[in-house]
Amino acid sequence: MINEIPILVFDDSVKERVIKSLGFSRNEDSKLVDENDKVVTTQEFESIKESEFGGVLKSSKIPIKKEESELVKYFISCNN
Amino acid sequence: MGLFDFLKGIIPEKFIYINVDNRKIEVKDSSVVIGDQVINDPEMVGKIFDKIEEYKNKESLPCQLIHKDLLDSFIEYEELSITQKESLKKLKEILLEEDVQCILMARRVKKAYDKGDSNLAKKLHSQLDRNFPKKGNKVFNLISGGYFDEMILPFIDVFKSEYEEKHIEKYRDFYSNILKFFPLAFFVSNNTTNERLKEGLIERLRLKGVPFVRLHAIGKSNMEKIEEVIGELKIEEQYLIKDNRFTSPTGLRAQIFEIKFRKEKGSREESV
Repeated sequence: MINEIPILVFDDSVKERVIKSLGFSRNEDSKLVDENDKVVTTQEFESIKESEFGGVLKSSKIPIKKEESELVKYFISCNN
Repeated sequence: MGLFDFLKGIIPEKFIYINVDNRKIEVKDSSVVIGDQVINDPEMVGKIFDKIEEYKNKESLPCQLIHKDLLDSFIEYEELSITQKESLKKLKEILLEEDVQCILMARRVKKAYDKGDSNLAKKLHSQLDRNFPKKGNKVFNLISGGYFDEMILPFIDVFKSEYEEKHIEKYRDFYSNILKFFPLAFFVSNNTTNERLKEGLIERLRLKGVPFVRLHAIGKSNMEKIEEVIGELKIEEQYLIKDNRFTSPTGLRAQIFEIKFRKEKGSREESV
């Protein structure tokens, strides 16, 4: 069941630490990059700025932007 | 794995028993919030991030990691994906993914209005409109009017039995026409009176330049309403009609009644 998956909630005060824990950092354009300096992308292959970072959903390590549409896509893809 | 299994040894056990909702915790700069309990412990916060880091090179995390600004929406969509599981599954099998996304988002908007949170509902409604400028509002109207669940969804089974292997293509055409010609359609639901149907039909027939008007109905009594109003307005004497009727394997009866203008007639004002 989807609603048995635990949720860890964070806010902007710890966002940088969350990003670091995931192995990401920010480049000179404020976009998230991984440890090999590759620009991290969403499901739609869009880059994410640090300010847009909305978290990471279970079943993938793909980050999401802080937008409703990201949640919509996630729940549609989960529904099987 | 529950959150407290994931954070075993980091979150003291006593908080597990105090808190009823042990599904989520909130991590702030130097504190952790579990239900109503605020634990001011920067070291605990640090340990939580160390724990997340253990999963850095693994394929997935054992939990959802969500920004606070998205939390309410996450919970709402999660609930919708559970209550609407069967209908979403059906829709995913037949419509394009973008259409299903629009429907889910429109349901979220309706939920916000139903909860009485009009500020949030309006904000979400604008977002729906921005994300799906051509269809978002129409889909919302269909859902909030009850037509989506009473009519559009049940038509999936009707089309499956009527068109078999071509049902996906046919249904997509049907759905896209519903949206494209939305102002020219009238959905006869259980709550529609004959008077309301008559008014709605006349209103649409008076529009300039319309190619047709379509009446949609599911169920014998709703189809009878169409028959009565069409008879009363003497529609068949004035217009070209196309009466498509369907019956699904479960016995569900449906109708799409199309009214087209006769080319040889003069202005439409003569007709109604």
